Amino acid sequence: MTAERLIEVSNLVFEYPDGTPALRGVNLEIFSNEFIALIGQNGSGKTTLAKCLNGLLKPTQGYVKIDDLDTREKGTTKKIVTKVGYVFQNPDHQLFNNTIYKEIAYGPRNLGLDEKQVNERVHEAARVCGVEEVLFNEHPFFLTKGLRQRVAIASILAMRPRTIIVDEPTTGQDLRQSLEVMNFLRDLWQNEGHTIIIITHEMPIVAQYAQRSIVLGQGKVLMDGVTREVFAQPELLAQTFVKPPQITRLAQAFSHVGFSPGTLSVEEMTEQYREICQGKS
Amino acid sequence: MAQTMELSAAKPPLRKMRRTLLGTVPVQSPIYELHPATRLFTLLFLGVVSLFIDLPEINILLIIAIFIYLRWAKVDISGLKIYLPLTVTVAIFMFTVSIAFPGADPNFHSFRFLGITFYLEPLYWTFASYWRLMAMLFGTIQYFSTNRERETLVAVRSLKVPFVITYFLSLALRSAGMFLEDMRTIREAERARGLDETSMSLRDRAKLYAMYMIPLFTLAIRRTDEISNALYARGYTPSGKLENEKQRSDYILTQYQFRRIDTILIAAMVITFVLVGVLRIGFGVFAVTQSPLRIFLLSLF
Repeated sequence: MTAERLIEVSNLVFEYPDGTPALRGVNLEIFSNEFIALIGQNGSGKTTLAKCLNGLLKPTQGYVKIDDLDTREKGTTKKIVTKVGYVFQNPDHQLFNNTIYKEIAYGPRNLGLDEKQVNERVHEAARVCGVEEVLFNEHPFFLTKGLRQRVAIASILAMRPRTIIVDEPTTGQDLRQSLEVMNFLRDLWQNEGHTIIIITHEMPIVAQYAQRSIVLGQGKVLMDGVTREVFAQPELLAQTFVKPPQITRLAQAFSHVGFSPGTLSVEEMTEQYREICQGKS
Repeated sequence: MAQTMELSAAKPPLRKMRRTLLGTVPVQSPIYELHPATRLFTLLFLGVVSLFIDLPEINILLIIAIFIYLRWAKVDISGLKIYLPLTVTVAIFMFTVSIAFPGADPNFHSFRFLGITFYLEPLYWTFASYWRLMAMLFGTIQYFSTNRERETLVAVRSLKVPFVITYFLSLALRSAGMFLEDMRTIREAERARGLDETSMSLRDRAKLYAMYMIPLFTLAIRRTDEISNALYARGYTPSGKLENEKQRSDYILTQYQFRRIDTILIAAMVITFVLVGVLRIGFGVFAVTQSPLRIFLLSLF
């Protein structure tokens, strides 16, 4: 089956009001059912690009089209948010209702749905995100950070966007919480058919979950491709101060004995080691 | 195969504008020729002098002067339109109160319009007070639209204000900046969930501001706790001295020059301020009863 193009970015230039050029000619295409990681050092333009993909920021030059809907056009906010959802880095910025139910219902209500539909969507989003109904009357700010993050994702999911952008989903979380959030996003990708875009600095997370990686530097796309191929070019990555995961670097250091420079996990390396040993014996 | 591009092809970004608490100013703005202390005096002068002036004519002229000053400083004046709802709301509130509760004085001049009785004196007093308030508001906006937190600190320090005051002032200014930044992000988050402010009534927009309070105050309280812990952990004391009685090194490294023009401008502002104060308190000049517009309106009765 051919992948459907969901977002088209053409020659995107974005300057902040203080004149800082954040994006300088970005060209991209995002297709259905992709799991993408946006990586790059701080200030490389990742969050700005993500906000442009969601229509929160309007291009200074160039365009972003979501299902052929140009984000520069006025009055498109409600249409865009049903196609691309954006989960903010800090869930506290995104929670402004006094109960969890109202929080998840906020988006569908803004879309003008009737209460029955709103209720359906709240329950569906909460179920998918693992937010229990007994918490519906709780205040969001009394939850743990991991749960607040889930409520934030549920509140976006309730608008049923096909693409979900999550800004630094694992920041400030321990390993267990990080894996929980990432496995949950993988479920949304694999089982619910969403396109997931994550912004992260954690390369092991990228290696484990992302199919495709887009490396940004100084407001431009420096690398765009299958994660394994991107990590297989450490010299280019080094320019952006991005280091592949340790296991990948180890494999690259021993590539002369037959390890693949695109190794992404311990399991892969172990398998290659076994093959190398068998080949020698 | 992954698509690649050399980073060396990309030039480092150039900053054209400098971000201030309420806006942005071009890096090349002539305002940066003035010492921060001179700029601080514009706040003290333009933001406070109206307290002594009841005459709406002068206060309107002051507002015009502020706009000319901002224009000279190359500030994008169109950005000030965000304060329009505030100015309208204040006007509605003040005039409604004045019309509904004018006070009882048999000497008031009255007229009827649309079936409502209006009293000229309280109405004119509201009109004068409104423009006084606007002059003070725009006097303050001009300062925070053209200066950064650190410039205020440099200015206060150059006036030899005790460390403890600059210390609290810096915390307050930093908090104000972060508060505004949080508010911007929360508004973005609302838009990301389908909120279209352009199609909302004024009443619903007012309700929105009430909604902002929940995350804003929660974030502010959390941050206050974090900042106070951080300051404690780094040995900050209100005296500005370390435990070994040595002075803490300064984090503001920019050097600002105090020139003759700064002396002249500060002297002019201080003299004018004192003169206006003396004329108002000692001689009753600038009282609303001297307003030419009021005199003209009264002559119509």
